[in-house]
Amino acid sequence: MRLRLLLGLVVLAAVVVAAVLLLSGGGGSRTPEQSVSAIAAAVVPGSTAVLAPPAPAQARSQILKIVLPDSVLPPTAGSPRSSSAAASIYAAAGWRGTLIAAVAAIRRPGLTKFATTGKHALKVPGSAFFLDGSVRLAPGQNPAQGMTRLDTISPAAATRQLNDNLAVLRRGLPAGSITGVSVKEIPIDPAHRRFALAVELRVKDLPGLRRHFGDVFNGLGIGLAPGPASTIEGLAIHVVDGRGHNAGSWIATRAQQGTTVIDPRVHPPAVMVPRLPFVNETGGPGPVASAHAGPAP
Amino acid sequence: MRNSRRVVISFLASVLALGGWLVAASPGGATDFGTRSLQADRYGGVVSLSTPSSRLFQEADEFVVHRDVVQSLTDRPGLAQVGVYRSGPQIQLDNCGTSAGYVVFTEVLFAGSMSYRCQLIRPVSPTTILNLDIFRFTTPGAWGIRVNGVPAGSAYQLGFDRGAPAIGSELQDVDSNNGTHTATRFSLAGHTQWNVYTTTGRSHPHRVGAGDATFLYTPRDPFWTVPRPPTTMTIRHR
Repeated sequence: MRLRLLLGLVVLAAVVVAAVLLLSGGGGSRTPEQSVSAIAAAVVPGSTAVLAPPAPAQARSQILKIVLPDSVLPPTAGSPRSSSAAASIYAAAGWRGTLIAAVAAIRRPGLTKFATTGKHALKVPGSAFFLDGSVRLAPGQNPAQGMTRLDTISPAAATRQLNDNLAVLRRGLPAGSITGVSVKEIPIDPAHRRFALAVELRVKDLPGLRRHFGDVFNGLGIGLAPGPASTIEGLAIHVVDGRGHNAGSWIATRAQQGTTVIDPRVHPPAVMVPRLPFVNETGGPGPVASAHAGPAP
Repeated sequence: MRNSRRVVISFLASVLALGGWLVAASPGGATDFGTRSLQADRYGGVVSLSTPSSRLFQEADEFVVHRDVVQSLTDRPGLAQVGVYRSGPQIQLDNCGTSAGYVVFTEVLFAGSMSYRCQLIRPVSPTTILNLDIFRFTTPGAWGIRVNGVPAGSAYQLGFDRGAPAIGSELQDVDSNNGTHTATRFSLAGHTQWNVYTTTGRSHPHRVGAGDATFLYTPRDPFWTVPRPPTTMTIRHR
């Protein structure tokens, strides 16, 4: 009888400990949390980040000020409103800022906003749309609540999924459509398996692939991002062709933010549906259609 | 005997749980709440769905439920809009993922690109009355968005070719004009005063930094200050 009671108590204690670990986000890991500077430097070597003191009127809110190096945000990028290529540079930089801020916010409940600049602290008109944002509307919110698969797969598994998606895309597009592929892993917090993937596609004729935008922008994300079943912190897909046409999507999973930049000359479809037979290897997001916000009638 | 009874009970419990989950998750089930929005903007009754012809819209898989648009000129570049949506598992907005919560999206149309952005706002429960403000400053193409009075993202500028010359740097936060935000540095390129329009219509003289600028609401300019009331979206359980 006593033995049963003892066993029961041990089981109860184990459950309580597990619950505490789970709720604290520790998941059994004793790895110390990174500083915001370390997170920034991991995402973009050469970048820095500081938490600004809370404003008097918003005593519980903090802003993360991120400075990116010229390699990511060159002072010569021009205005994002001048071309979709310039807008893509800002979108990619802002995406990195969002990744940094979203992970930094995990253990900093007061962090609500972030502002990203280049080393020269210049902000050209229109760039704040891409570079600045919020990771939560009010202190204490957890936008990633319910994302039970996030950070559960290894970089190798995620890269394998992306490469397999790329292989399906290659086979499904007209021969010779893709002229170059570059995949980059972006570590954010390796100790917690937090990373993002960025893929750069060079294609022969971007407007000619309009019918396959669902395969390019949604199909490549299968098993990875976005949405509640996401497995990785972020996914960037950028496509350019030899004539300067440009389109991309930048997903920051944890912050549930996405930015889409499309060259207006491409005339994208209102709804993009993946049609090729992508295989979900990770149990992450499945095939889903997407649409841009679109101008009002 | 006891074990087999346990197995039967467990099986029945599982069946009941599965059935309950299926009912809850199915279209038309208990969690299916409809949303409607009614709001006219200054262009008159823009209540629209982004994808009406896609056939992906349905009651349980609603898409854009509200959008508010401001535009300085009639041509497309220079348009800014904000909207709120929730989606089912069939469609997502701007590669932002499907969401059972409410997501705010913003859009700017530059001459050289179409740029969209979405981000989650929480908490917005189905019974919430949501106030969405999209407003503009009197500086060239500086816009702000607020959700329930709280800035949703930063102010940003659009490409207008009218009005005062472009400033060296832009507003860092939409709330700067009502004094509830920490001052951020502005480079006014010779401007010492901006006329700031707020949706509340209140005047907020506000010094920003050391002698940088004074914000003052002066609704006199017919172009830069077009008064607009706050927009309201009501989400109700069906």
